Amino acid sequence: MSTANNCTQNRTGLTGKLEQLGYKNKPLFNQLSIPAIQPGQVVALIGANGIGKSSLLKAIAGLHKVTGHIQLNDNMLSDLATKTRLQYIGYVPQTLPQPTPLTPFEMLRNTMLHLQQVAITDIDDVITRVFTELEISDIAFKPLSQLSGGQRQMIAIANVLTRTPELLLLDEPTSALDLRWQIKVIEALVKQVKQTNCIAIIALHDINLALRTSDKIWVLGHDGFSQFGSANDVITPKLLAQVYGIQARIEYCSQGRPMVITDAAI
Amino acid sequence: MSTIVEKFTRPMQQPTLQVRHQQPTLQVRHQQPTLQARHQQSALQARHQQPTLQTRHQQQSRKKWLFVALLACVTLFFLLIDLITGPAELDLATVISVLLNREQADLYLQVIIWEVRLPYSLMAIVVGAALGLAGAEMQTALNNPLASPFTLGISAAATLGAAFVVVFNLQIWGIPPHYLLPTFAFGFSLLATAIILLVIRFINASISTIVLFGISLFFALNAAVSFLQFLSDDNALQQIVFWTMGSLSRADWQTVLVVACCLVVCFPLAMRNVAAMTLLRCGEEHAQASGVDVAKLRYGIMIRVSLLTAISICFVGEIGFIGLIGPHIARLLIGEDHRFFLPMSAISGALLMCLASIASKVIISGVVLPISIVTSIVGIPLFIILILSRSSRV
Repeated sequence: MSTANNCTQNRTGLTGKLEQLGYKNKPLFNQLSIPAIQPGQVVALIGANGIGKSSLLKAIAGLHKVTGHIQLNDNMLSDLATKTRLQYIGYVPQTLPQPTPLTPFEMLRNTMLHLQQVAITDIDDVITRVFTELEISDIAFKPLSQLSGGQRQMIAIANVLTRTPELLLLDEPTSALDLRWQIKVIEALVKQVKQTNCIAIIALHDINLALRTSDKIWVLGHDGFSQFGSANDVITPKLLAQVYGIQARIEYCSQGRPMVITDAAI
Repeated sequence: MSTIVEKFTRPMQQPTLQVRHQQPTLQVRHQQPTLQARHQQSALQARHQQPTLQTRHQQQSRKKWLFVALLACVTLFFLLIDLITGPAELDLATVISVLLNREQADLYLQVIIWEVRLPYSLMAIVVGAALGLAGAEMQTALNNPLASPFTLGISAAATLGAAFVVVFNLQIWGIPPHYLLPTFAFGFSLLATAIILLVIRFINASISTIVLFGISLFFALNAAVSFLQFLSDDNALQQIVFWTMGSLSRADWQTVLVVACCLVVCFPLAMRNVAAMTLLRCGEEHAQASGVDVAKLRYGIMIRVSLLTAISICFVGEIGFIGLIGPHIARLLIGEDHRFFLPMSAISGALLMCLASIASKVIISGVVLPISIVTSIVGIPLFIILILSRSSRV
């Protein structure tokens, strides 16, 4: 346990530089540097549709072809084979797990059997711990086909938490969810990040949700635009106009939180 | 002095008196919560004693393995029934005694049981298992409940190969004539698979492209078969039509052994990938995010499926339905964790074929019907019963 604590304390975070991100017929970024992200930070990744948020997350996870280098704590990710790389990274794709007769427990178990990161005898304990932490033990044996979208999203997140990732990448984890589940999912994620001192990069469409939940904001825009910083510095009417093409105000609510209010599309 | 003492002690005593006085009520009050708490505690304990996730999982696994074993036993039982059905009207005792002591039995019994019925029935079992397994893998690989081993045109290719031999009356030196037809059927189906695999490899196709390509290949091959049928004389035409109806009567010990060997090789290879295949059922992207090389997995599955299917149908002809329904029955019974799902699909396929084999001999006494005619007659009622019982339970 003490060694584990040392490990989490000596983390240096995420940094790197990507080149040639995109597709053959649709290049997205010629060069994109990954800002130095500190352990324990929740980063909201925002930007217009099709700007390359998903591709960026996939590229960091090693599931999308890209050149360049990425360093995560002690590991040079870009040198690792995909399967090894995914032992450090929990990537949750945008689509929900298919509604099949599989149970969440089976899903998590098979993931762990496939990644072979944990001894077979410990697998059930780890799964139990994750289900308990996320408070979803009651649906562990319900078929995925009988679960709501929010529940399936939670299962997808649980599925990557079993590997105790150093980096969480989530592609619009709240896009299919109602307000209550949005909050529940994000809260569970933030709790995980703070508890395990890992990094989370969450692609979000809802800027207000991003403002509310993240430590830092990373904005992607057209023509290779990329800006990283704290919400107050980054989110300005000018930037929103440039990135989203909207006319917007930033006002403070009765609790003092900044809120983006959209007036018109430019 | 005493008053001072009194002054000092009274207030001290009074509270203690009060306390004493209050103590019972306090205790009662205190006890009531503790009772409640105890109740809650015991409820918590009960909930805690309610099986943990781990034990629940173990219980479920055990139940599922039991189910697999049970269905295997049922299949064995029907294999025995299959062995005692037939025009010779032998009873169970005779059959078992001939099975156990081959040498001591009459010669005609030996021939009927060991050379006719056993290859016929065992062929039903191995082909059913092969098609059930292949169908399960195919449905997973293509992420489509309507997929079967024949989806990508393998059966049509085999038929074309068989038709080739029949129509042109081919004879090739070195291959015994009765093996020529299976060899061609097998060769053609592998060729069709090779084309599909090349397409997948070179254009990096998505599943829908693969399925579309397979279906067009199916129609193209069917057209070729029709063309050959158009060219052929009555005798050849009849042979082709019979081939597409499937028949277990062509089975002998060697062919049974060949199919069984293929099954023995392919099944463990499939079982090595059960975790990856199960993850593929959560969706392609989720499987990739869990470290599954989906393209490679799919490639391996295609190769196994085409081997299993080609070897099965080259000896017995086209046998539809089993590869489609076998996996669905398995899915309804034990879900989709492939650790159970794959063996269960193989066993369901074997059971269905076994039942079909019995039906093929029983429906018209004295006549053995082509097996493809009865597979659906037997399978569909079973399938409907399962679906109905399922929907009434949920």
